[in-house]
Amino acid sequence: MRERIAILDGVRSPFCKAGGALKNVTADDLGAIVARELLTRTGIAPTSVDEVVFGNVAQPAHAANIARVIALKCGLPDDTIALTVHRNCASGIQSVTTAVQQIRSGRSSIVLAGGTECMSQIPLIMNAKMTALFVRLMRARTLGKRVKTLASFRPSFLAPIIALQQGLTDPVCELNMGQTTEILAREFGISRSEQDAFALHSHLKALQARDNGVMADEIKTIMPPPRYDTPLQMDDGPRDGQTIEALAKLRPYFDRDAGTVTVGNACPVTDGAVALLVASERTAKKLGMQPLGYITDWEYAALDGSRMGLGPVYAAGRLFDRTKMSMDDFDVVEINEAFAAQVLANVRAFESKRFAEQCLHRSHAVGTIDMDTLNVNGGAIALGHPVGATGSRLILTVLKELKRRGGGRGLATLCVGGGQGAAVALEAA
Amino acid sequence: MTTAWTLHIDDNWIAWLTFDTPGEKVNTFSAASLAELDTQLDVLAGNEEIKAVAVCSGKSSNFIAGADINELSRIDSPDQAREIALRGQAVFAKLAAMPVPTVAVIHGSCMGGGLELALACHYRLVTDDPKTTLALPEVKLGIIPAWNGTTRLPRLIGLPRAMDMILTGRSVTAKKAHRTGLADSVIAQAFVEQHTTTFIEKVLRRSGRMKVEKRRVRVQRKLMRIMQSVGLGRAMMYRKATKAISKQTNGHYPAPYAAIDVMRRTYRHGSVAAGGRVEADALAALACGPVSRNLVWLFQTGQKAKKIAMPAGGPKHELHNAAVLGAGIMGSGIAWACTNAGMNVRLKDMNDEALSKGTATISRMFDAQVKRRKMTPGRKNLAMHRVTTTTDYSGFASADVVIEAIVENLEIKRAVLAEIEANVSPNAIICTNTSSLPLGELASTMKHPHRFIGLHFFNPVNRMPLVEIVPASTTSPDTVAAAVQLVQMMGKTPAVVGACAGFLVNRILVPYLVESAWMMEEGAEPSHIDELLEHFGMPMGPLTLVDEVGIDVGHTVAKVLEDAYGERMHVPAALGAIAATGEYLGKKTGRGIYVYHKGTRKPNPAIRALTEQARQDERICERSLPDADIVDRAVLLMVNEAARCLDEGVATDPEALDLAMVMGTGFAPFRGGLLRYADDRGVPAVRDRLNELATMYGERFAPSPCINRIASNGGRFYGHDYSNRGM
Repeated sequence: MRERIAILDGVRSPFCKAGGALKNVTADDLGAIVARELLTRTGIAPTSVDEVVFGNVAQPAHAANIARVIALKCGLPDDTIALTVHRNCASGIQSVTTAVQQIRSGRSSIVLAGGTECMSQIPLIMNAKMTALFVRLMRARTLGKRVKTLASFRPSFLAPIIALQQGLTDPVCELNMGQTTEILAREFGISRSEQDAFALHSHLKALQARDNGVMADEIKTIMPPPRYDTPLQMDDGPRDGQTIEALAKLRPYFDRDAGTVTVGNACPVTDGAVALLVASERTAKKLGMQPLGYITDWEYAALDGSRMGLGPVYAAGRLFDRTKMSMDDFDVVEINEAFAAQVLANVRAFESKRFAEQCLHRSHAVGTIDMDTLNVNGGAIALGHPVGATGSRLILTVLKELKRRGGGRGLATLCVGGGQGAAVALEAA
Repeated sequence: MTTAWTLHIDDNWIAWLTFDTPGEKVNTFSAASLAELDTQLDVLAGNEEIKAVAVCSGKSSNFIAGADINELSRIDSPDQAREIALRGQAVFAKLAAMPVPTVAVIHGSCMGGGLELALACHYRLVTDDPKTTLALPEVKLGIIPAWNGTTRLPRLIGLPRAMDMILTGRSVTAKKAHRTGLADSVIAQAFVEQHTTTFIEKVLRRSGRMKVEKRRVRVQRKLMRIMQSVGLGRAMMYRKATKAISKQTNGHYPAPYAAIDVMRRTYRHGSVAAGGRVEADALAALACGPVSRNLVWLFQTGQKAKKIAMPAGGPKHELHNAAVLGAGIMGSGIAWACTNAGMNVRLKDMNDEALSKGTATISRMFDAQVKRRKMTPGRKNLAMHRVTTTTDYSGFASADVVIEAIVENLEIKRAVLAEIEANVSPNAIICTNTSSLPLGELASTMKHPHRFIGLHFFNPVNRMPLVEIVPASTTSPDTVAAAVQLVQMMGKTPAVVGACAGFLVNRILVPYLVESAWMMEEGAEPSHIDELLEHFGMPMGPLTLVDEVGIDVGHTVAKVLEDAYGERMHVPAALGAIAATGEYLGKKTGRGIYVYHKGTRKPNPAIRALTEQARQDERICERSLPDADIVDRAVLLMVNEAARCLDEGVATDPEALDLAMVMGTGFAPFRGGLLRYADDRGVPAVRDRLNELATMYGERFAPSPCINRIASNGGRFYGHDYSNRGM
C-alpha cells in the first residue's frame, strides 16, 4: 500500500464578504498571515519547508506568482521554491493535490499549501477605447498632437470593464455561473422554495457551528492592516435571524423574469485565505506530530461548461471507480455551495441511475447522499466562497470534523467554473 | 611606519590617491595620516604629467570618518586646537591649489574632516550605495568644522543648505548631495574607475567644466540665491537660525552660535584662507570648553557601550524568535523593538481586543518611521508580518527569548513566569520587564532561575535609547550575554545594573522627582521649578515629567522606593493626594500638575489647594525658596544617590552611571553626566553644599559615605577606586 500523505494542521482566516472587513488586505498579505500563524503554531522550522503551493484565481497584478510572495512574507527563507496554481474554483484543492504529488515523487518532504483570494480587490479595467487613447497619447510627440488626441476623448471611454464579472463568466458558453445554475434548476426541477430552504439551512448550520466553537477551531483571529486595530474573529456571512420569508422576498438575480437563483440562495463574493501543511506520514512521525488527517485520493473531471455545477458528481464518480470506494464509506460529505440549486442538482444526480447511465456511462448511480452528512457545519451560501481558497477550506473543515468525531472518512467536492469538478477522499488520523 | 595613503598613476595619467588606514575599519585623520597626505600631495605637485587627481578610500563602506576623535579628546590648550585646525587647512589648501582637476570619489560614510577634504577637491562624485552619506557632525561634539568646511560649504551649496548641515550635523544621502550640488555626479561603485575616468575626461574639456559649474548654481533655489547675495537677506537668515538654535538648546551649546558667527564673518568676505583663520580661532575657543569635552567624552563612552563584548568564550546566541507577554504600552513597544530588529515576535495577551490595541501601537510606531522616510511602506508590511498574536501559549516552543511585560504584581508575575517555564524550550532566555519588583523574589519561585533576567525598557520604547539589564543573583553569565546581545540587536544601549529597587536610573531619578514635589508642597510654583531645571539642562522639567509619566504611576514607584530605602525617599503627601483624586493624573487625563488643552498648558489651579492641604497635614511651613536651592536640592540629591549606587555596585563605574543617566533620562549631555557635573563642581564643594542643605531641608541631604570619603581625599568620582566599596 502506498504511504499516506498527511495534512499536519491547518488554519484559515475569517471569511468576509467582499467590500467588508478584509477589503484592504491584499490576497498575498492574507495568505501570508494564515501561513505564518500555521508555521508558528505547529513550530515547524521555516528551513524544513521545501516548497509552497498556493491556489489563487484573481492573481493580483502587484503580486505575480503570489505563492512566492506569500512564502517570503510568512517568513520562509529566500531559497524556498513556490508555485501558484489555478484550476479556477478548485485552486485550493489543486494546491493540496499538487503538494501530495510533489511529496509522492520524492521531490519535497514538507509543503505549505493553501489558497487565498481577495475578491474585494479585483480591479475595474479600462476599456479598449480608453486604452487606445492612452497609446495614442504616448505616441503624440507635439503639443498640438497631444491636444488633438485628448480632444478625441468621449465619456463612454470611462465605462470600466468589471473584471470580477468577467471572471465569473464562462467565455466559451458565454453564460455566467448563475445562468449555468438556472439551467440545472430547470433540468432537475429544483424549485425556488427548495433552494431557499436549503440556503436557510446552511445559515442555521453555520450559526450553530459558530456558537459551538466549531468555527473557532479552524479560524485565526486577524488584525487587518492597514490599522491593525480591530480584531476580526469570525466569518461575517452567517446571518443571525435569517428567515425563509426574507429569502423569499429576494428577486431572481441572473434571470430577472423566470429565474429561481437569488443572491440569498447563492454564495456571496468573499475574501479569505487558508493554509495547510502537507507531509508524508513518515515525515509527520519524524517530527513527532499527530497529523490532522490524511488525503486518501482524489480525482478531477470535466464536463460541458453550461452544466459546470454538476462537477462534483462527475469527479466523485471517477474517484469511486479509481478507489473502489462508495458513498457508504464516507461519514461526512462536502459539496461546495456555489448555489443552492447546484448542490441540490448534484444530490439528485448522485442518486440517479439514469443520470449515471446517460452522463457518466456507469451502470449504477454514483451513490445516495445522506442529507445529515452533507455540509454539516454550513457551506459557502452562509460562509462565502473566496474562490481560490474554498477548496482548501473544504479539506480543513472535513478533517477538523472527522477529528471531532474521533475518526472516519470524508468526501470534499466542488464544482469548477468552465466545466470541471473536483473530489477528494479524506480520512481521519 | 605603515602607510595609509597610496598613490597609483594609471595609463590615462590619472593619479589615484587612496586612503586605507591599515588594521582599521574606517579611515580617520590622525596627525600621522594627515602628514602622509601632505607628503603625497607634494609628490603630486612636482609631477607635471598627470592630468587629474582622484581621491578615494580603500574601505568597503567608509570614505573618511573624520578627524581622529581620540586626538580631539587630547587637545589641552586653545593654541593646540588652533594649530590642528591650521595644519589641516594647509594640507587641504595644497589639494585645492592643484593645477589639475581634483575629484573626491566618495563611497561610504563621509564625515567631518572627510567631507572637508572632499570640499577642498574641485569635484565630488558619490556612489549610489545606501551606505554613502555625507555630514559635518562637528556641532554634535561641541565644535565646528575648522578645516575650511564652514567656509567652503556655504560657498558651494548656498547659505541656507550649508547652515542646515553645519548647525544640525545631519547627514545627507548621495541622492540629496547630488540634488543640492554638494556632489557633481552620482556613480556606481561597481564601475567606479570607469565612471570616474569618464567624469574626469568631461571636466578636462572647458565645455564640460562649465556644465558642471553651472549646475551647482542652478540647483540652488532662486529666491535663496538672491537673498544670500544681499546683506539684508543674509542677516535675516542668520537671525532665523540663531533663534531656532536658542529655542532648541536653551543656549547651553556654544558651537552652533560659533558656526553662525564664522559664516557671518567669512561668507562673501575674504579668501578661503582668511576664513580658515576665523574657523581656527572659533575652534580654539570651543575645543577646550567644558561642553565640547563632555560631548566628546559621551560620544566615546556611548560608542564603547554599544560594543560591549560578550563574555569570552560564549557562543553568539541565536535570537530569531521572541515571545512577548502583555500587549500594553510597554509590551507592544518591546514587540516593536523585536520586529524592528528583524526578529519574529509572538505577542500574547488575555484577549483579542488587547492584542489588536498592541498591534495597532506597533503599526503606528512604524508609520512614524515611514513618515520620516526611515522606512518604506513595503518594509513596514514585512515587519508587521513578523508579529503574530495569540491568547494561549501556542508558538512559544520555538521562542529563543521570552519577555514578560504584564501588570506589575508579584503574585501574577510569578504565576505567569511558571506558565512560561512550562511552555518554552529549555534554552529560551526568560526576561521580565519590571521597573519596581524585586528580581530575587521573582526568581525564587522559578524552576530554572539561571536563565531569568530583568530588562528595564523606558517608555516610549521606540524613542528611548537605553535598556537596563538587571541580572538577579541566580542569573548565569550566559543569560546576561544573551540579554546584552538582544538589546544591541535592537540598536539600543545596554546598561548592566544591580538588582536593587528602582535599579539604577529610577533609583536616582525618582528622588529628584519626589524632591520637586516636596518643593511644590513647600510653596514653590511648579512652573518655576520646571523652568529652573530646564535651564539647568534637563530635557523637561521634573513636574512636567511627572505629568508625562502619570502621577498615579509615579506615586506607586515612589512608594516602592520609599519602602526599600526608607526615610530619605519619603514621598510628600501632596503627591498621594493628587494621585488619589483620580482625575489629575497628568497628561493622560488632560489634567495633572498642569492643565493640557489643544497643545497648550497652564498650571492647574486645583493643585494649589491640594498642596496647601498636604502642607498643613504634614505641618510644613510655606517658605520661599532661593533659585539656587531649588536646583541644588533637585540635582545634588541625585548626586548623593548616585554615589550610593557606586558604593553598592549598582553601577560598575562613574562612566557607566553617567552614560545611563544621559541615555535614560536625557540628563544634560553638555554637562557630560551627573558625576562629571559633580566632579566639575568639586566633590568637596558638593559635600559642603549637601551639609548645608541637610541643615536647612532635612537629613536626606546628608552626604553619603562615598561622597565624604572622596571629598576628604580631595578626589573626584572619576578615577576613584570603588573596588574597596564602603558598604
